[in-house]
Amino acid sequence: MARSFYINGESMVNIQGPSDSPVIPVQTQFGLAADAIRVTIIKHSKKLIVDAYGQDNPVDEQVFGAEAIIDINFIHFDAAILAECIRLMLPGAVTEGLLGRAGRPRGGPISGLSALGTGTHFVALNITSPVMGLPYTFPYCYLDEQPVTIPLGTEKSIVQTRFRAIAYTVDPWGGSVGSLGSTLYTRTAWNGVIQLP
Amino acid sequence: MSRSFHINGESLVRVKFGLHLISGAIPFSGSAPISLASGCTVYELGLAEEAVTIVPHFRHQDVHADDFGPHIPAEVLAQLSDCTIHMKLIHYDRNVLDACMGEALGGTSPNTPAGAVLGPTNQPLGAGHTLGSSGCHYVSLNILSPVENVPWRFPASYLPALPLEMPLGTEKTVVDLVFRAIPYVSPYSTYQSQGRGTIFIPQEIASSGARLWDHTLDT
Repeated sequence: MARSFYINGESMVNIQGPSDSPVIPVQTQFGLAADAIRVTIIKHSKKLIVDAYGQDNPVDEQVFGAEAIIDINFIHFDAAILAECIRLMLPGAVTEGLLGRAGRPRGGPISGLSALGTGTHFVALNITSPVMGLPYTFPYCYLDEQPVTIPLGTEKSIVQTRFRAIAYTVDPWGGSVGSLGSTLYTRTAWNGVIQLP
Repeated sequence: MSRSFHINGESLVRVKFGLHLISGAIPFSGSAPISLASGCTVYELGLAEEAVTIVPHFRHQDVHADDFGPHIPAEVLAQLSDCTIHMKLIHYDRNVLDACMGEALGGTSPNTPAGAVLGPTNQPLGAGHTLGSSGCHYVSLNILSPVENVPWRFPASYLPALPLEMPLGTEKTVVDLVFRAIPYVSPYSTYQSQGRGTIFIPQEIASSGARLWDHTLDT
């Protein structure tokens, strides 16, 4: 691919929740953003320090996976889907505004289930790229940190959301390879169905 | 082998019990065995929250001679070793852990609903049996090494006293435990007699050749 300006285009956010979600059991349009959607990839690593190389001079680095933050300021969106995302933010919550059981894992009740199956609490986000043709699909996301700021007044509400994407897995052993091959996101073309790994 | 960084990798912990736990008398409902060879079955115990720590304890005794004074030994006797293996299990099989605890108590029922029903005191863990045979309550502890490919096996291990801590609450239960490995040697040799089954011949318990650990996984 040659050098060029990177113009993503009109970035529609699509979403798909768990199969037992009453609102987003299948992929659905979520909404459009007021400004650019910001995707931040966060790498986790530890420096390797050898005294012979200097205490502040890493000779190498061990990398322990990554996660991503997706900041979206929705301006033209489906409010029912937003409410469902807030409900799924708290695993086990029956409706928006209620809590689930303390300590419930997001992936399932006890031992973890495959994401987007019944009883899980992840959403998959797809950010289209109609101009550049390089979409993002994050299969395992949830609202995180200060996840939602909803201004209420006579002006349009631009809802600030922060999603966190992780490379979720049911079995961290991974058949002896651990996190190798676990999906944080894909860049596959969107053909109407969120491409899940 | 030249110098390098040593990264063990995803250190899954497996255990192998004596044949008495494979006979069906004590079920492992829902636990998946790894393999079945010669009637023995290896089970996955679990993954640790942090590094699995191996600490050998070499035992020595000083030999003093007056010519060397009261403080510095003229000679040191090597008096074997045991080993502790420390782990904080976070993703583990509760049935297998219960069985490890049961074997450490001399072979009580490990079923969770029955709880810790104790047997008679002073129950020997080896009881004269060879490792892995029915009636031997030592577990063979295996620590995998998928990156460095230098696994660890402690053929005669058990859960001693502290620490074995199981916090219970809304957060995940991370079980903090220590296995102790010793160089167990059976005091009997055996041979198969036609018509009379297995014959046990008492033998001297010699430490020479006793295995504390090796780097071959149980199969």
